[in-house]
Amino acid sequence: QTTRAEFDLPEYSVRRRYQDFDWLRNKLEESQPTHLIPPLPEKFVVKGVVDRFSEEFVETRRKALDKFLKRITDHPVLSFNDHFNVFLTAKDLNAYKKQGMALLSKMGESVKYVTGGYKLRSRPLEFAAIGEYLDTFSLKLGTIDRIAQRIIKEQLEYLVELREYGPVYSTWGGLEVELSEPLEGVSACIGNCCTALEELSEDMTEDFLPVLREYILYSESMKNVLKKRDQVQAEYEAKLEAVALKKEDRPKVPTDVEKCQDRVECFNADLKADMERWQNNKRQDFRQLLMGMADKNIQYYEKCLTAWESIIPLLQDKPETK
Amino acid sequence: DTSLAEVNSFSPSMPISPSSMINQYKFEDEPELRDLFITVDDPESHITAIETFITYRVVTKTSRGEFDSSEYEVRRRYQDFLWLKSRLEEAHPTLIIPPLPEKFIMKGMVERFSDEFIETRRKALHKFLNRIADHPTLTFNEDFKIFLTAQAWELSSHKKQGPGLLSRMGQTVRAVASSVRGGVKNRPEMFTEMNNYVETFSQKINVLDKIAHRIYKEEREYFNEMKEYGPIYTLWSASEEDTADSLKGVASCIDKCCKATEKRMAGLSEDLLPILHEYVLYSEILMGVLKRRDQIQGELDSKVDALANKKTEKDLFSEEIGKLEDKVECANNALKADWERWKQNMRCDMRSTFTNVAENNLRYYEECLATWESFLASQRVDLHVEEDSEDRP
Repeated sequence: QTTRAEFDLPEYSVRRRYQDFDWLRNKLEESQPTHLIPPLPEKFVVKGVVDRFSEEFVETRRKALDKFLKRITDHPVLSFNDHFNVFLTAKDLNAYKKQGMALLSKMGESVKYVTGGYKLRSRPLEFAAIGEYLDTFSLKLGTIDRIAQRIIKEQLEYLVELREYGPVYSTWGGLEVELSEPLEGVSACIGNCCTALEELSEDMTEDFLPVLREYILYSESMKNVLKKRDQVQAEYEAKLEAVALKKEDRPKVPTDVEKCQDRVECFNADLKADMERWQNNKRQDFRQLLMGMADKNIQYYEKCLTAWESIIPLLQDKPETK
Repeated sequence: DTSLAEVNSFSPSMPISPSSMINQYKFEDEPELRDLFITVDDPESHITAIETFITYRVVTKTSRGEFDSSEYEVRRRYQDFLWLKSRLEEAHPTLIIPPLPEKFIMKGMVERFSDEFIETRRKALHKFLNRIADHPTLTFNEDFKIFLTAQAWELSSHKKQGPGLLSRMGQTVRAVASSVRGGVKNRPEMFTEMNNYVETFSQKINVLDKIAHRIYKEEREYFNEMKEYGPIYTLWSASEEDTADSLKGVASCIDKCCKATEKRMAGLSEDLLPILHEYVLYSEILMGVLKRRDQIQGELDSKVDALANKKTEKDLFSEEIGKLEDKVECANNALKADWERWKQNMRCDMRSTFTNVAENNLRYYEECLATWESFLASQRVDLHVEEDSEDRP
């Protein structure tokens, strides 16, 4: 839904598959190489480990794709990208895709950025700092992801035990007379704790982990952008050196070297702006994530607390008289 | 927390001197004051040329007339407890003799002399003696008195005086033989019901025991993960600026929950696991008692059958049968009374155990809840502070 002039209509509804998102992301990377493109959820799924068509998987993917598009929408430059526009509006995306392939023969601005082969001597401090930060950041997130997954596994195993445990108290209760109510109570209590734990695990899997993974993927793509920036700077420096070595008395710097310099400056500016935006978003996202984590834990503990509190009166009741 | 829990001599983890027990004892079932207080403590290892074994100190305080002194302190080893149990079983075949901790622990990696193993055994032995002391019949058993009072050499010589090993084996052989001869035909309804109950109870309690152990193991694994998890957030916070405080807050929460989990595990292993295990042993004992009752009745029945075939020598047999009939009636009555007592104690034990488990869990959930709530509150405060500072021009 939009009020923007460049859209013909105020509202569009289209159907897209994962491939289309992948195509869009590639196009954005090509056409806006100096910007940080948000990550997509992983392309490949190990068959047998995850059911590609399970509701859970589809829902997790859907949320990630939704986030992907929203991030692009929020970006002051990316949101005006033509490919993005077409992605959102075209009835037949495939036709447009094929058209795009033909256009490759026209060497666009984008291709020039794929320089390669130049080696940067030293990364400017601010970008080196970013690079180091991203390394530490993705490492920590990776560790948290791994341990969180182990914790979820523990929780599921614990649930298996509880699910067997609770009912035994109930069947034992059937055998007793005076103890039957307390035993039923214990059984119900364990059942409630089970449900509460299920919900907590689900939340961790569906809301917590995907954010971690998203940021890990983000870090990876950001590191690639940093490398591209290095390439552009390296090309410029190399060409500049080549000119200096020519020992000609030309006070004027050749135009293509000037263009390189422009490219470096534009890249740096875009990247810095995007990094700031990314940091802000990251701060908000993680604040929300951590508060959500606290909230879900609180809900879990409250439910279990209530369950156990409810059986205390059952146990205090002593109907036995001598 | 002694004000909350009902202190009785069965809780071996409470202050263990008999004098403190006398002060803390609360009236339970019997209106008369208890006159026998026993503690088991101070495990010590003894190394001889042949073997190494542990002895436990058994301290008895009593006001009973039949005891020469009011205080006794002796050392006993596990073998001595086994001896006592078998003597009680012989003397009272249809009474429910409390369970002893197992001889060996094969499963798991518990060494015979690890501190944990010794402590668990000590607590169980303490319970064993106190349950006997609390039993209206067993408490006056002569062997029990000797166990509590005799010096080591006195006990050894007394042990040798009992019916020889061979005669005891003979009894066992006869017992096995009689049970092989076929099921009991005239078993009273009540004991069939008891049998059915015990079978089902045994099944349930065994399952609970197994699962409770698995649950304990799960909690330990969860604890291990959490111990690793928390510090990562702290490490991560070192490379952040604005999010650093939140991350440290989360690390602290996880750390506190970790500690709470440790306490919960301790509670489980102190309150629930020993009780479940004790009642697993009890269910075996109950089945044994019911078998012995059936045996005693079997003896009577087979003699009655034999009489039915021999029309002559009736007089000879009738005296014997009379004795057997008495024996059966005594056995049945003893079992009946003890059964009721056992059931009542079981209910009491279970209620108190479940209450402990519930309170343990409540403490755990309350602690975890509090720590996350305070974290959330601190985040909300920060948000407001941020929002306020943003509003300012």
